[in-house]
Amino acid sequence: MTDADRDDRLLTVWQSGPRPDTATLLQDLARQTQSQQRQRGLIFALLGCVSVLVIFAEASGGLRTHGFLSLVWLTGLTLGALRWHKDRQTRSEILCLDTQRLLQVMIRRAKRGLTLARCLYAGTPVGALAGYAITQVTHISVAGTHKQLGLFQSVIGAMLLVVMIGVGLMTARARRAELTILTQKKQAFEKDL
Amino acid sequence: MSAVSRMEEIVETHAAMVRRIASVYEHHRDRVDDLAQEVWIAVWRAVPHLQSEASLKAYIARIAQNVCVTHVRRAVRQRTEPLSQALSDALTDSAPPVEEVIFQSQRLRNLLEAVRVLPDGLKPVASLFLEGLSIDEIAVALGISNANASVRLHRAKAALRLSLGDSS
Repeated sequence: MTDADRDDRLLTVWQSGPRPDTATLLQDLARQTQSQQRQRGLIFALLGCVSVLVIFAEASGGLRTHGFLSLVWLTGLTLGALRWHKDRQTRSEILCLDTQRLLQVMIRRAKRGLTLARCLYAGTPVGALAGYAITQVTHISVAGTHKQLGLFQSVIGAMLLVVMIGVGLMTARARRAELTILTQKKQAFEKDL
Repeated sequence: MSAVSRMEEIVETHAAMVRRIASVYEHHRDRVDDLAQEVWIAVWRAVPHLQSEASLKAYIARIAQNVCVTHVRRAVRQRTEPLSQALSDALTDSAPPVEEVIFQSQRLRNLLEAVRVLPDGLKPVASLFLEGLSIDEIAVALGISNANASVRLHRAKAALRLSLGDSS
C-alpha cells in the first residue's frame, strides 16, 4: 500500500462520520445574537445609571464641580463606546488571520484586558479615596441641608465601588487564566518551527 | 441570493467539517456543539468579507481552526467524559445498519482519539489535512511556510500511523 493510498483511507475514514443536524442552527444563531444584544443593553443601562448618578450629584449641588465630572464621565463613556464598536467590527477580521498571528493578537488583548481589570479592582478604590481626599481638602462637596441626599449618594457610590472591585477581581482572574493558556498554546505551536 | 439563504447553503455544505474540527478540541457532545456554534457565529460575521467563493472551504476551515485553537473558556476543565457516549449519540442519528455504524464508529473513534493526542503543533495540521486541504492552504491558514507545513504534516501522519497501526 502506498503512502497516497494510506492518506486516502485516513481521509475517507475521517469524513465518513454522520452529518450533524443543522435544522435549528440558524435559529440558535439568531437566539445567540439576541442574547448578546440583551447583555449589551444591560451594560449600557448600568453605565447609564452611573451617568445619571454623576449628573444628579452635580446638578443637585452635591458637588461644586460645575459639571466638570459629568463632562469627563460622559466623554470617557463616549470614547469607550466608540472603541468597543470599532473592536467589534475588527473581531471577525481577526479570526480570518492565520493561527500564529491570531494567537499573538489574542495574547495582546488578554494582556490589555488584564491591565484594565487591575485598574478596576486596584484603581477604583484608590481613585475613590483620592476623590474623597480632594473633596475634603478643596471643600467642593456641599454638606448641611441635604444630609439624607448626601448619605444616599454615598451609599450608592460605595455599592458601585464594591461591584466594580468585584468585577475587576473576577475579570483579572479570567484574563490571567486566558493569558496562561494562550501563551502555552503559542509556545507549543511554535515549538515545531 | 439573500444573506440568510447563502448562509443556509454554506451551513448545509460545511457543517460536518466544522463539527469534525470542533470534535478534535472538545470531547463532550454538548461542548462540541457549543464550539461549533461559536465557529458559525464567526463565519456569519466573516462571510460578507469573503473575496472569492473558490476558497470558501479553506476559509471556513481556517476560521473553525482558529476558533477552536483559541477557545480558552473551557480549556481549564478536566476532560474526563468518555468518548463513547458522545460518539454514539452522534452516530445513532444515521440510517446505516448497526454493524456498519459500529465498524465506522470504531475506526472513526480510533482516528479521532489519535488526532486528539497529537502535540499542539501538529494537531491543526492534521485536522486540516484530514478535511482535504492542500499543503498551500494549510500553510496559509496556520501562518507557516509550505516547507514547514510539509514537515509538520509528515510528522503528524507518522504519529497517526503509529497510533493506529499500519494494518488498519
